Amino acid sequence: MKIKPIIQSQYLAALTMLKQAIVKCPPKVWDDPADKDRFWFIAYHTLYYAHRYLKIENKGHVRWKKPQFDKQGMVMPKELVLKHLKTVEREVVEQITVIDLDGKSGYAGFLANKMELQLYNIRHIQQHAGELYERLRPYNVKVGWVSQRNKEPK
Amino acid sequence: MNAKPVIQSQYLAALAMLKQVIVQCPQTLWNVPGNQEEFWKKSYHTLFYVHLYLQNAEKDFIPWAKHHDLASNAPFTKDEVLEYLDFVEKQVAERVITTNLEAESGFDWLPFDKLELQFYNIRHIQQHTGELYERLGTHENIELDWVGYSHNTKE
Repeated sequence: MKIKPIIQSQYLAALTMLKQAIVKCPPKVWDDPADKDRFWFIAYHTLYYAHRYLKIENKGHVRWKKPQFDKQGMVMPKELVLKHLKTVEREVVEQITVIDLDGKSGYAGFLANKMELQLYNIRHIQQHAGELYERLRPYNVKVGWVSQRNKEPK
Repeated sequence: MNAKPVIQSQYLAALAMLKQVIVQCPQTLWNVPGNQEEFWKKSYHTLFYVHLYLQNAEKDFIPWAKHHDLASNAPFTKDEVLEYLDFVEKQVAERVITTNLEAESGFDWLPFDKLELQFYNIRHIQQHTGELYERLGTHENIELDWVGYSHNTKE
């Protein structure tokens, strides 16, 4: 059974949905002071952990700057978040290819193995993509469901 | 690689999050008239598809005993949806064990195998759970927990 292409396909589908939300987010929603967690922060937080959990080893890799939103006036531009998204897409292809799915998860000790960490990570992306889709709903922004890698949104 | 316990764990974690959001939803938000994606309807829709895609094929699907057409607009109560959620959790325990993960999806609109269908199905739960979490956060300022895994799995 070829598990890795499936994991990659479903990662990339979830990331495509997150990308839609980011691209379609109106400027006034990107950093709305009315939101407890700003749109850009949720998007970056999602990518930060996707990137971190895709690494084979917890130690010894360069971590991105931890997401923070308590500094007044600090807003991450959309272009930079999209750049991070592209990096994560690339890491999905590179890291999943070489990862030992039976190995210890390395991060969250309660997870059975690396395989479970991948499903956990995909769920985490999808959870936040869902939150951002809902946040866009009042603005009549068209965002759709993506079933698998390279499929157009429905 | 025995993927099945991991798949069960992550199904049940996603369903535990959906359960939280249903339990915490105030009655005033459960069925808001004029909202095309009512809270009850989105919750039920999510469970319906988890249930459907856990079957071997579309032809094998037997709807839940209390199922009715959602277009009739008669809302399910919160207790009914939670009852359906319990039923679907049991389906996860029973169905994943016996599923041949290398077989075709069994649904002609989903051109991949059963293993990918499990990922897809779990993503579908999580997407709608995220939407409902956001709705509760926005309207009711209710915060809910992330559930990482479930150990209530069978091999």
